[in-house]
Amino acid sequence: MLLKLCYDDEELQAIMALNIEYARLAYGEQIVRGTNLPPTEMEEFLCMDGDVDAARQWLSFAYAVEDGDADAVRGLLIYMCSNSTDKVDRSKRAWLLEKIDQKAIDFRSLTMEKIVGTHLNWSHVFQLVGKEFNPTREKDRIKAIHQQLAAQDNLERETA
Amino acid sequence: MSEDNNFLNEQESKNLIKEFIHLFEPLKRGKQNYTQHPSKDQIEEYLNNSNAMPDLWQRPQTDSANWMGAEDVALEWTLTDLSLHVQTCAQCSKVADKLRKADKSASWFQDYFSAFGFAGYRKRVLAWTYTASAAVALMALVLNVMPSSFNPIDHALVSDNVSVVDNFDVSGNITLQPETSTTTGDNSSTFANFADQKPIRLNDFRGPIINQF
Repeated sequence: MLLKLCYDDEELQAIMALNIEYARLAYGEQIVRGTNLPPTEMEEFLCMDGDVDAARQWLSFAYAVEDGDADAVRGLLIYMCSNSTDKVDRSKRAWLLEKIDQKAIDFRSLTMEKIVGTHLNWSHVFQLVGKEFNPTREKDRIKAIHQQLAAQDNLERETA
Repeated sequence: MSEDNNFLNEQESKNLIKEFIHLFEPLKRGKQNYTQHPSKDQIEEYLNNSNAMPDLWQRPQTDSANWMGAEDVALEWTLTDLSLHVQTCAQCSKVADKLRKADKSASWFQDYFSAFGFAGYRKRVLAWTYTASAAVALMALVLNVMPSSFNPIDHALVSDNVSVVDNFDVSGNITLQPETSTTTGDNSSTFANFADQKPIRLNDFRGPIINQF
């Protein structure tokens, strides 16, 4: 209510969009760390800015963790996050690789800040999650969950 | 690597990232990976207490995020994150350098005052000893300077209305007191013209006074 008084609708929409975007990213971090925030509870919050599809994609990862190989999903996220920037952060990469080699870090203590820009390869990811997995299979599984969620939403919209 | 992972060539991996890259868009914005930086206070606190801080920091949140109840899913900022960020972010490393320099110049001052309450026994005793010594030295200085710059007897003698003779007693002691005005009871004029008067020393009176008896 206070925000509505302070900002006009466009500004409020922009603020919310930015924060919910970060909130979705933060939820991704929670998935990596294995904090098990239930996706059913997060659903409404993650699409507060109206970007239902982005929310649905993050929720697909969360459902994939619940239903299948959680470590593989985490590994996939770690790899994608680590390679999401074009520029390599060399000091961060050196730090993280050293920790991985010494087995002084695991996915529970990872954050986006630690991962991003490190450009890990798959063998590093496997070391981090403690096992090897098939990324393509995991990706296909997540995409299938995403399609399923989208179909459900469409059905609900039609019936409403 | 297991057998069914042999498809993980560079191109496959790139395609995988391309499919989901939009989810990580906030990470790509800004000069650094994040658009949000730690506050000056957080950097200062980190520099001062890096050994004592718990390994968990909360990423700075805007009011609107708090309003929406986003604390539960806020990106976590661990001490390691903050350390890495401060080292690699040009903007934050400059702030940290400035704070370090400011801290060095102010450290003796802070050490001294913090020693009173929070330091160990030895430091506290030292701080109190320094303070007591300084107080004694200051007092000695004041007492030493005062007689030469302010002599009440000299000041009394320069007055027009001081009666030396009347205050002379048999034992030879002289008690000098200013006379009060008999008419008005107001003695404010008694000491009014100090600056205009030539000081008269006690010795100046000694001969004539004694001769009177």
